[in-house]
Amino acid sequence: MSTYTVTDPDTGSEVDLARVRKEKDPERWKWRAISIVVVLTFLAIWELLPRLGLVAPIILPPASAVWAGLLELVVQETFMGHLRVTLVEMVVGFVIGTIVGFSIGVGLGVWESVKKSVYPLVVAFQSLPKIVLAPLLITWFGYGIESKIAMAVVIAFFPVLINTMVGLETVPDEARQLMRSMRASRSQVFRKLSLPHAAPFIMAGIKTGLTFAVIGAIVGEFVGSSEGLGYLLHAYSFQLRIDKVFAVIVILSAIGAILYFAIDWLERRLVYWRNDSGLA
Amino acid sequence: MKALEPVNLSVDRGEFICLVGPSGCGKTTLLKITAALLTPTQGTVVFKDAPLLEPSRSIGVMFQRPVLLPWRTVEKNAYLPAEISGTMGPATVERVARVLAMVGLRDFATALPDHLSGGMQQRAALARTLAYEPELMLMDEPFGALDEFTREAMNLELSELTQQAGITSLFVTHNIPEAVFLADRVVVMSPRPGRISGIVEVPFPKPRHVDFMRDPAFTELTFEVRRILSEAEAKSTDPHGGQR
Repeated sequence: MSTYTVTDPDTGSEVDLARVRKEKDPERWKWRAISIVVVLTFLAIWELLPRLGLVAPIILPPASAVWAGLLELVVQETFMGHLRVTLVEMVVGFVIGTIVGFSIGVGLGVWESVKKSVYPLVVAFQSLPKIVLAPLLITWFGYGIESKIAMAVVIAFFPVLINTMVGLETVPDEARQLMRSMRASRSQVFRKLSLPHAAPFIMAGIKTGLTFAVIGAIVGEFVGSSEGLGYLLHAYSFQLRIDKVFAVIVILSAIGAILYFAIDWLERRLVYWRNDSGLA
Repeated sequence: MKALEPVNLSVDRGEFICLVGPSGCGKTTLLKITAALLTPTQGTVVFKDAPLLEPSRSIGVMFQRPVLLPWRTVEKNAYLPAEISGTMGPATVERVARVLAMVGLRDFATALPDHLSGGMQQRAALARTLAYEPELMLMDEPFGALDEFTREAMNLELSELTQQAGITSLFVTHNIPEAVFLADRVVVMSPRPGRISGIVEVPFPKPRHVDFMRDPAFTELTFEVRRILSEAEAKSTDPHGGQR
């Protein structure tokens, strides 16, 4: 981007819009370096504790053994199949959960009568610890992929629902009056004011929903499955292959991180305005 | 409780009216009724010889805060009224460019509102209202949140712009000198219950210059407004001694 210098007509001072955002860069690199040092220290302690005999390697294998286990794991023929199953469960569950949560959230946020009649049921459902539904969902949908998708949907849709509803409800009164003074129709108010206003809220809900979908898929696999990374984790645990257990955990957190950063990237493009100030 | 006693006020085309009074005197209520954003329990608003039952596209409203949509650039905020009325086109683009130049925001057309100062945001809101080409502008303390210097500069510009465009204006404020500076007529309102307690004519040509504030007549008129306010205050003292 080129430099964009303009004069503030009120103060007469020069404002460089491009610079405003880049000012904090040197600080950012300093903290990035410090955080890498913290990670390395953590890995060193992990390596040393079992090697010095402070912890039994069967309880905590050294980091290097986990790394070796990881390399061994990913070249196994069956590994890609397990990975694909879990990814499909997470992503499909997340997408369906987001669509369901957004749709119900819009219904509750736009129509007062819908909110009054349906909201108590929604709250009752939310106070339920949804993990207890896992055995039931397996009874309903079987041992396959469907029950895990259902589990991911069930726990992922709620944060999207609540954030969509709250985002739509917090549109400032003055902005509504402005739209009314321009004779905007209900659908124009929704498209041009309420929905973009709610977008930062909705994106925050979607981020939480994604983390929840990952949990849902894995918990579903724990409870009953014959494939997937959760199944693999469970199986290695029983075989006391703790290095492989850690290897699967590392893969799962990598998946979680990649999905999260993908959504974060999307968020910064969709919600490009500062979202902490409401309306100017 | 009644917000407003019966109010009778007629405004001529091109006139600049200031509604001045303390908080709770119903000046904002009166403005919102005039915009048809509130329906009065009794009485009617007549706009261009016809009763006004719903918001009109010939009436532009400005609030105390700029109420800009933060995801739209300054120029896209100014396009909003045209988009809503379905008249968006090359003529709108040209008109918005002209209006932005008028309020001194030509270089900021593609900036987001959050990157602007409070004064510039309110200029953008003014541009949005002017791009509407309203015949009547209703303003509720539009510069109330700005610092004194910016506020004076904005008042001068507003006085000139409305004069040039022949826009009829209803301007709510609790700042007496500001009211006298801007208005053809200052409508003084008093609380408990909200009512018009007097009208002060300001028979000086427009657009006005800062020098007008040094004129002894200017001081005289501000005192006249203050006198009406304190007389009304004495009268509205509750006979039971309480405040409500």
